[in-house]
Amino acid sequence: MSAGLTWSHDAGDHIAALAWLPDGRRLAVAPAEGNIVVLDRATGAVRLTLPPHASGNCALSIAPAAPLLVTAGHDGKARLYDTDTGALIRELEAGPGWCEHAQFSPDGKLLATTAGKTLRIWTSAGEQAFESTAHDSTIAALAWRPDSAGVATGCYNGAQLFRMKNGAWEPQSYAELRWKGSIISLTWSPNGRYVAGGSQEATIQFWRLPYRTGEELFMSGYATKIRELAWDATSRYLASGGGEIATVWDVSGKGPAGTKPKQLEGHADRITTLTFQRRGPLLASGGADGRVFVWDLAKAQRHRQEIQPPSAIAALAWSPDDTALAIGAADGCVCVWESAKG
Amino acid sequence: MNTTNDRIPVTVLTGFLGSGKTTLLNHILTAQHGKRIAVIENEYGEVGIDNELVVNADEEIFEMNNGCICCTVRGDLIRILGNLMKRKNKFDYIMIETTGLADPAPVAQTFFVDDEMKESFSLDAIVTLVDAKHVWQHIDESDECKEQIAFADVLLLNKTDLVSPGELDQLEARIRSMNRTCKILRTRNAETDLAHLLNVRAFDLDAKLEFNEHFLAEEVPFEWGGVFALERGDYQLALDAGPDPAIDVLALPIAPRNDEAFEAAKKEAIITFASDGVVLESGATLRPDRKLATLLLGADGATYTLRIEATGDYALFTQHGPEEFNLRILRDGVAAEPVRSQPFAHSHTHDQSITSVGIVDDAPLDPKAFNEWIGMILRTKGTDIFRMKGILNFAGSKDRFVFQGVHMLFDGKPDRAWKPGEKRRSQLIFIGRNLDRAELNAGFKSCLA
Repeated sequence: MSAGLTWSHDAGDHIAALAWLPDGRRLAVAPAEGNIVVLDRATGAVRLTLPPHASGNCALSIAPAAPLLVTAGHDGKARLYDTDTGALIRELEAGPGWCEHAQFSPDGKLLATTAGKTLRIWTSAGEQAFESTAHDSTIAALAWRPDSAGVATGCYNGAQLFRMKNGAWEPQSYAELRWKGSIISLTWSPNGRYVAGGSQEATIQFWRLPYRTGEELFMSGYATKIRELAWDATSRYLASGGGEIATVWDVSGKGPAGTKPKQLEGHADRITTLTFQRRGPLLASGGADGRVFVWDLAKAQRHRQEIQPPSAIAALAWSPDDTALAIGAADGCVCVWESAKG
Repeated sequence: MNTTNDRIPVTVLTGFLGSGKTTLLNHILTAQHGKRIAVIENEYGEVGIDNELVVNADEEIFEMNNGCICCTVRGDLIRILGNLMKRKNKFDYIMIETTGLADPAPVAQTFFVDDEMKESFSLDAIVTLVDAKHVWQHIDESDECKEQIAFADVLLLNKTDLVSPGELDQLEARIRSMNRTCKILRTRNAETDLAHLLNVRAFDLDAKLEFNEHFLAEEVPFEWGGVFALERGDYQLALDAGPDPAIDVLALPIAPRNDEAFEAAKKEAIITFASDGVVLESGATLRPDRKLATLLLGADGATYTLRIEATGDYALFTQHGPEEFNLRILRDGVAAEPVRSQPFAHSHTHDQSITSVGIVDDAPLDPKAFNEWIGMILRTKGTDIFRMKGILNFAGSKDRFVFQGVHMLFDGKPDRAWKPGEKRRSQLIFIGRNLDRAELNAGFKSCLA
């Protein structure tokens, strides 16, 4: 494959979520309203069509090692599908309110969903394993612990960590990462040692684990609220949005305290999405300006990609082999950028 | 960057449970059938119209600390609207229905502090519904009721079929004394011309911020004015004892019976009320002689003779509302009904905490001094000021400056140029709790260039 964009597909509405299937040959696309589709990487042809959630689709997640996919939406439901046949395996009740988050655990054995203040954990077959309704406000962010034995949820006043012990979920959270503010995004570093949350108040809360009160850090100076957070595979770099500049913190050594982050400039409008490769070092950013950048931090290089017609970038996803970047836009356009290393 | 024209208008409906919010919402949805409208509601109302997106959400208010400004916002709205704006096919309107006991401030503030909200949505108006029959139970005690009235851009006095015209007049006067700039509509069953409710652009600084001079003029010194058709001869002007021992009245002939003549009579009355009244005791005779009369009331009230020399129309202006004293004009025991009845904002209040302070001044302002003064006011009095808005005449600027604020949040910018021949004039209004009128006026004057 030579570098560049191949085909383009119109999914009908602002792209809410994009996710690659584990074979790296198929791409699942959920528009904000309308059918969810699975596309062929090489041709863009539609391989599967799945029905929408009434009033809107919120989330999409793919099991890492089984032919399973989950869609979630405004109807408060999470639907488990067989990705080989497209058959609906089970429809799960995530709770009252929109099911805004649905994520398979990294090992694929469990599924976490949030709807309003309700967190539920399910087996990948759709049996409920755990429920917590102990949140003070609607859960705005969800992140799995990298070892699949815990989750973090974020809402007002910080984040809570839940975990399994001896195969069963503990009923209460085992750590409360307190902060007086509204957490709207959360990410857990791949090595399990750090949790970072972005806030409405344009700060990042950074917690080293195990958490000790008073040891949290926060980073400020962002232009606007921060929903875009991404860890690189080595857990060294935390990339953040919250404006036109992608700010990358180096947490190695004693960092990030007292360090100056790298500031990646190039977008002419707010960054909307950030994602590192799964194993490789490259960082992809998309903005409301319709630009996509692929950054090589070590070489201080960047590749700029535009899509035609121009439209704000809504979602980005690296293929499992890190050689392709799926791009979803606000006008419903989906395309795949293949790097030359194919 | 979206202009106002690209942004989706948001209407906030507030009012106590039973005031008619859901009825109004259904009217709007029916009439706007074919438009894409999202409704965000917090009570399980019966929004019975199909094809509309109805989101049921918990009102989640949190305190946002943005530097030195602390304000409360609706986190659930930021989340929900943040999702709804991500649509290729944009919504035409968003309707937000608050719970009955809601303080409208967090809703309004949400649109001042979140960048996505500011960029994609435009707060169009706060529409408050008032149950005309039951609001009296709340209007003195409930902070939320007062806030909902003070925050209104448009206020529907609903269920007018359940109260008398006199009670409605009283209610309207009371509301007007709290909020001098809202549009007040009298409705039955929440029915009204939608043009009053949609595209109001009440928070849009680009919209023509012209104030109706009536609302910002000096408050009139009388609380009621009316016109009676009277026949030659004597009438009894009867009053019961009331909150005050005396009441000033002015009676004068008026012809023809139209708006201009009434306006002229009103202007004359404003001046006449500043003079000393002739003191009369019960039993005395009063003539429509354009002179102010101070009618004394005994413990049991008083009766005066109103002598009419010629059949015709007569205007009567009374210092206090006639209903406070059960003021009647009688002949042979039959009370004359006024052909026109007009309550006015109170110039004194019966222990009322929510008021509007209006300032009008032609003298130009020093922008630096004004900036410092308004900053100080926001910091020290921001919690008590619900809304403020105005047009300012800055010395040395060819442009008008327009601003608006909600509590401590302030938004202002230069507007169009003053037109040649246009009177350069500052007009401001503050709506709030325990406002010190004298202090605000003095502070404003200290900013003059």
